[in-house]
Amino acid sequence: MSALSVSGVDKSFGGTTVLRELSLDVAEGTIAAVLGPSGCGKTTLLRIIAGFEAPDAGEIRIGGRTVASHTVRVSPERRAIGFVPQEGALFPHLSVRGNVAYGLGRSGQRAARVLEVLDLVGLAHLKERMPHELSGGQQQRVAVARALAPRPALVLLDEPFSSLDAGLRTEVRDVVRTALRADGATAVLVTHDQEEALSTADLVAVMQHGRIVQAADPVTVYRAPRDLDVAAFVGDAVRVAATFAGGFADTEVGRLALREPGPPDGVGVALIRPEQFVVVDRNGGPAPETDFGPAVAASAGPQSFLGHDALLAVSLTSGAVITARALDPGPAGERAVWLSVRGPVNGFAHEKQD
Amino acid sequence: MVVAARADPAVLLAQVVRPRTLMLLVSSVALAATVTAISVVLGVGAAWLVERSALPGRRVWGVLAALPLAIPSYVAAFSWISAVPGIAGFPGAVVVLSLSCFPYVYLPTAAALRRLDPAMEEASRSLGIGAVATFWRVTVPQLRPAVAAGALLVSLYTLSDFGAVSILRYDTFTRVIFTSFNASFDRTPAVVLSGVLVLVTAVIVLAEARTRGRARYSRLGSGAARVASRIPLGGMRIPAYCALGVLAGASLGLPLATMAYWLSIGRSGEFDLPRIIAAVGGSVVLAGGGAVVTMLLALPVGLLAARYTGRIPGLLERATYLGHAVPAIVIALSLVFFTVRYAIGVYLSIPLVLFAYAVLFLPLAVGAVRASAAQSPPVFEEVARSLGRAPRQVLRTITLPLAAPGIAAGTALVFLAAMKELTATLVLHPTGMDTLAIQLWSETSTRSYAAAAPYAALLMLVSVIPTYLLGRDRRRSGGPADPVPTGVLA
Repeated sequence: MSALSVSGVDKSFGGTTVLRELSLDVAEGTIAAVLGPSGCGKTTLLRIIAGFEAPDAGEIRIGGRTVASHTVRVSPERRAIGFVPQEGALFPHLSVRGNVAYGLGRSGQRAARVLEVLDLVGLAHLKERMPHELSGGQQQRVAVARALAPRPALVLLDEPFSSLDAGLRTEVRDVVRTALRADGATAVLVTHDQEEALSTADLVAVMQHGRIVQAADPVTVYRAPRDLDVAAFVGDAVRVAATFAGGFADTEVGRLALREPGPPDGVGVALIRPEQFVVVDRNGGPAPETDFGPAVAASAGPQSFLGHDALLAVSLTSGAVITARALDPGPAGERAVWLSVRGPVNGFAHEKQD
Repeated sequence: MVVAARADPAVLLAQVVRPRTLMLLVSSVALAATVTAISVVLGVGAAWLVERSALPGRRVWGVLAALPLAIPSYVAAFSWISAVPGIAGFPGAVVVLSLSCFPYVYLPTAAALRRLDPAMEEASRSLGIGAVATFWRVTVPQLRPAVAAGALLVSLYTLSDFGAVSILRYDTFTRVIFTSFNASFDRTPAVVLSGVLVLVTAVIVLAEARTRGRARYSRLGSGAARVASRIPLGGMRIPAYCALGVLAGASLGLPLATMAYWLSIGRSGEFDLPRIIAAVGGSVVLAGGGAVVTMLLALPVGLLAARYTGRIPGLLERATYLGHAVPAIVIALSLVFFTVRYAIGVYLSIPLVLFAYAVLFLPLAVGAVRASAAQSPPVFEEVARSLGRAPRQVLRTITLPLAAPGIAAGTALVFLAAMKELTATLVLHPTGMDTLAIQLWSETSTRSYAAAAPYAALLMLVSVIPTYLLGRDRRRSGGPADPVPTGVLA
C-alpha cells in the first residue's frame, strides 16, 4: 500500500499554474526525493500534502486515507504528518526537549520517546539546550527529531539541508537518512540539489513545469533518464548527434552501445556522461581499439581541477567541444589525445522542442 | 460633529467666518509652521553632526538629542515659564515646542543617514561631483522621506498640543476650544473650532501623503554594506560643540535645573504629600486600566494585521491610526457630547477615560502586537499544526508566548503614555479624581510653581522609562527604532 498517493493534483495562484495533474506514489518505508529546479512548484506540492494549501483539483491520500479532494479537506493537525521546514524553525521559546515533546500527548512514554528520537539524531546530550545555543546542523537534526516524535505516517522535508554549508550538509544528511530509516519512516524530501536527491532517496521524482516527469530509483533516473531534460537535470550530460542502427549509435566519438530500450533506428542524439569518456595521451602509436571500434583523435584543452577529479575540455576534429571527467587531469595545456567511451549510452530519437 | 449637525446652519456659518476663528487659524498655523521649520533645522543639523561628522563623543550626543522626547511638553512649558515668566505667548510656545519636537525629525533623519549606502555617495564623487554638490544631489533627496515624516509629526503635534500652549498662555485652537467648552453651556463655538482644527490636520496629513507618494523612488535599501566615513570638522569643531551644547542645555538642562530649583525651594511645607499620593494613585488607576483595555482591543487587530494581508485587516489597522491624527481635545469633546446626549450614565466616569485612552493609544498597542507577532514567522505555526495541534492550541502555545514580550512592552508603553496624558484626562476625569498631569496643570495655572514641581518631577521620571526602553531596544536590534512609537511621549 502506498503511504502517500497524490493523483491528478492541480494548483494555481492567481493566473499562474504551479502544479498540473501531478501524480506521485510513495511506498511505505521509502524515502522519496522530489527533485526540481527552483520555482518548479515542489514546495507548493509539499505544502499541499501537509495541508497548508488546498489543491484546486485532484486527490491526496496518506496511509490510504483521503486527506484532500474536492469534497474532503483534513486540517494539517489531523493528517499524521511531520514537517521539517527549510531552516528547521525550532520554537525559540522551548528547549530541545520541549520542541521534540511538542507533538506528543501527555502519555507516560512521552519522555522515553523524546530521548529515543533525540538518540536517533545523536543529540540526546543536548536536550536541555535552547535552540539559539545549537549550531545550524544541530537545529536541523532536532527539527527532524521533532517531526519523527509522534510517529507520523509521513515526514515531509522542505529543502532541509540547503541552509547548511557544504561540509556539514553531507554529515547532517547522513544522520537524517539513518534516523529516518531506523524509525521506519516514510519521507518526502524536496530539493533542487541532484547529488542530495540521488544519495539520500530510494525514489527520485524529477519535477518540471508542475509535473513529475520521471519517478524511479536513483540509478535508473541517472542512467536511464526519460528524456534529455531529465538527463541534463540529474547530472552533467554531453549530447552528441548520432545515427541509430541495430542497437548501436554511430557518432563523432565512435560507435557506442545503446542502453535498452534503445531508440528506433534513425537519427537523434546520444547522451554521454562525462565520466564515461576515456582520455589517453596520443604518443604516435595507432589508435587503441575499444569494444566496437578504434578510439578517435581529439585534443585536450583547458581543465578545471576539482580535487577528487578534474573536468577536461576536449575538442573533437569537427570543432565541437565536450567535457570529460578524469581522475588524473594530466599536464596543463593543449595536447593530443585518444578519446573513447566506456559503457552503454542513452539515445533519444530527436531533440525535444523547447 | 453631531452637535454641529443639529445647530442652525446660519449660526454655524457665522461662527466659522468670525474674525476670531480666522485669527486662531493664523496663530495656530503660524505656530505650527515656525515650530516645524525650526525643528527641521535643529533635527537635521544634529543628525548630520552625530551620524556623519567626526565629532568626538557622538554616542553621548546621540542620546542627548533623543532625550527631549522624554519630557512632556507641558512639563517643559512649566519649567520655562517658571524660570522666564516673560516668555509667555508666541515666543515661549515656539521655544518650548521646538525644543520638545526636534527629536521627531532627528530620529528618523539619523536613522536614514545610518542606512544610507556610502557607495552611492562614492559613485557620485567618482563621477566628478564635489562633496557639497554630492550632499545636495545624492544625500538630501534620500533623506527627504525621513525628514518629511518627522516634520509631519512635529506639525501634527504642535497643532494638537494643548498643555504647553495653555501653560504658556498662547491662544491656539486647542486652548480656545477648551476654554470655550469650559466657560459656557453653548458648545457651538467649541464644536466649530474643533471642526476647523480637524480640517487643518487632515490637510497636513494629505499633503504629506502626496509628497511621500512622489518620493517613493528614493526609499532606502535594506541596509548599508558598511559604515560611511566621517567628515572631519576642522575649525568648525568648536562651534559644532557649542551648538549641540546649547541645544542640550536648553532642551534638557533648563527643565531639570528649574525643577531642581523649585523642589529645593518648596521643601518647606508646600508639598502636600497626601495629595501627591492621591494623584499618583489616580494616575496609576486610570493609566493601568487604560493600558489593559487598549491592549485587549489591540490584540486581535495586531495579530490579524501581522498574519493576513488583505483589504479588511489593512482597513482595520489603518482605522486605529485615526486616533493618532485627531487632536486629543477633539476626541475628548466628542466623547463628552456623545455621553451627555446618549449615555449620561458614563459621563465623567472612569470607563469613559479608559475608552478615550484606548482611542488615543490604540496605534501604539497595535504596532507593538503587530511587530512582535511578525517576528515569529508563520512557519512556526505550520510546524505546530503539522504536529497535531489545533489552531486555538497553536495560538496559546506558540503565537502568544512568542509575542508575549512585545505585548508586555506595548502594554507598558501605553501605561506610561496614559500616565502623561493631559488633555483628555483633564476634560473627562471623574470629579474629585486627580492625576499627576492634572495637578501639574492646575498648580501651574495658578502660578504655584513650587507646588507643581513634585508632579513635574514624577512625570519626568515616568517619561524617561519608555525612552530608555526604546533606546535599549534599538541598541539590541542594531537597527533604528521606528520613530512612530515615540509619538506618544507627549
